[in-house]
Amino acid sequence: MEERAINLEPQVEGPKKKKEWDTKKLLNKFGALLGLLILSTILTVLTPSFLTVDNLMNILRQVSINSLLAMGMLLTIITAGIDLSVGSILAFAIVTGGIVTVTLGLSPILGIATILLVGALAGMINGLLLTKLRLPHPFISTLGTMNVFRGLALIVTAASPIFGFPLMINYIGQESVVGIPISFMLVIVVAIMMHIFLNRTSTGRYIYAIGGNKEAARLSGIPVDRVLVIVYTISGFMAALGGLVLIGRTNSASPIAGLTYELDAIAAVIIGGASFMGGVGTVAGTIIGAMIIAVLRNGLNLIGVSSDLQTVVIGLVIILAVYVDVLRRREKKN
Amino acid sequence: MKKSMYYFLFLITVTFTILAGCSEEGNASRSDSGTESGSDNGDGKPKVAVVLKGSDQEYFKLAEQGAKQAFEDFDVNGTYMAATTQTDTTQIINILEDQLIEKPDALVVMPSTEEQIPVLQRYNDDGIPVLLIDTNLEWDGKDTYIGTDNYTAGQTAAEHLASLLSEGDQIAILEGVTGAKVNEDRVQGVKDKLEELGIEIVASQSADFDRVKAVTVMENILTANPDIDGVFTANDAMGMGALEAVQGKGLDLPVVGIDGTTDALESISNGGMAGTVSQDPFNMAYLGVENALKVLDGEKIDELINSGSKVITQDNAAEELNRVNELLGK
Repeated sequence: MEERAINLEPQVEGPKKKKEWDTKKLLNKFGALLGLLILSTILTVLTPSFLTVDNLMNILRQVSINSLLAMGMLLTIITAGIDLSVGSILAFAIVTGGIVTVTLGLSPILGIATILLVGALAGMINGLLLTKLRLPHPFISTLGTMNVFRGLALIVTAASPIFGFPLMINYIGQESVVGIPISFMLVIVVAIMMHIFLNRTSTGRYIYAIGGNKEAARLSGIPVDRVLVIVYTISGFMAALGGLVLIGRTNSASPIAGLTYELDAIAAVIIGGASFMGGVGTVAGTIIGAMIIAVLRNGLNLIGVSSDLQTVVIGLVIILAVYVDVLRRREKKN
Repeated sequence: MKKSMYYFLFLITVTFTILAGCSEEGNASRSDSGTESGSDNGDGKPKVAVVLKGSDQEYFKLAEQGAKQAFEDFDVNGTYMAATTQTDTTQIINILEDQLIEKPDALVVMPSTEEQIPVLQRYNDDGIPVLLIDTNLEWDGKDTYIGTDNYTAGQTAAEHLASLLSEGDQIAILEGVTGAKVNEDRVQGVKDKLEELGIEIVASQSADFDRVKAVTVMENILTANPDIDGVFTANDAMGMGALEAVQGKGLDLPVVGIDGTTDALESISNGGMAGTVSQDPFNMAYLGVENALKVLDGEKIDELINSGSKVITQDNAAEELNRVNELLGK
């Protein structure tokens, strides 16, 4: 209960609106969670394989990468922005790491550091393009870098995947401890840190403030540009972290890895109750959004629904989630 | 507020009910698995899972038909699943992980890249035989590879193209997804053979196995090299795109591909494309299931099984088209 109350604080939408936002946020969070529970219940009834330990661990493994990317995406969407380049950053970061550890044979620790650093730097470039070059919208800057980083990934690898990573790098994406995938433990740790960052630090609150009203934020003395650079740097870093998990899952780094991952990440954030208009969104909602997508795909696989139909269902769920948001806004107005 | 929530939940429930209905109707082999899941062969039928890297091309649909025909012919409790598109290399990993939960007796898989080796290794660890079709992987755990030898297919295509040209002629190559083994093998086969036959390659560019991209790439190649005498494309989809560009420039050049898709076969029989080397995805999946059963019976099977390929020209294109259409139920 406490954390929900904290969530509301950063809403800089004018103090008189605070109460309404209260209820809305509550519903936002519960709505997605309720959807997830109902989904799981239906799947449990439909197929006996769904509610088994093995399968639940599969789901946790499958949700990890998208969760990490989606948390980065969440920050950009709260600022009323977007990051289309996360899939490409992921690919570029992991192939550079691959070159360091596999091709050059250097230490795996250096490899991991390279991956994360490349991701963060790539994200920082996104932020600088947005704030220094004053490109009109992150949709444009990150659309550009989406192509740039994908192209760079193909160039540095001569378009071939890199195989055979040392166990230390594979560890995060591959191994489990007491049956629970390490990749998901990473998600939980990062989610808690992200939650605290968004709700307990001034930068975190600035992020909500910028999304609520950028000009007002600027006028009230918030260093908007600096915060935006931080947001995109984190998004790039999270993409690289997702890449680290992907390496372990595939024991390889492919320059075409992460194609269309940005779309799954955006879907998770939106299903999780964030708004494209900015200023709204929570870490917990985003994780639940990612879970809904993963559970949906997993369950449909188990039932034996063709992937063509699965794509249709995911699309419908996104539309439904946004529609609920629209209904909610309308009701709020009345 | 509550009303909107009910809407949402209601719609989700409806969607799922419909889907559940669809899946049971659409997948007959699947429906009897409900009664015996958990216990291994409740009714003595072997459980074989067939998983493909994509479902967005006719090629995959043919393999699907082959798998389902084999399920029927050999009275197998079969499951068929496919990823949406082969460029999404994680989706097939998720499907393979999910299928492992169902504990099949054997797995027949058309993988996309080496990225799937770790999950296939998990099948191995559980003692489930893994048979690869169409795309070979450098992995010791496989029981066999069933498919076209793509290098040979490339050479065959090159021979056919060269037979339409004379020594010293120049050709262009449209390559598929760079780094994909299928592409590298085919293109290498073509290059080696053409060099041997004294045909010069003046341009070789990738169009990602994509028909639309092939039009643009071919147009650019023709602008830079207006005097070329022929074109090889690493699959038929690009062949159709290249033909479009060639005809758009008012030229008449032989275009030769590999695969044997229905639109290519139709084009060849109408004098469009100059030929193709057809693969047999139906047979790959069919042989996959058949050999999986052999492995389960303890029989020894070859490490490499050729599913067959043949040169298609204007003479036999119509005949091949009929055969494929029949398989697709058209």
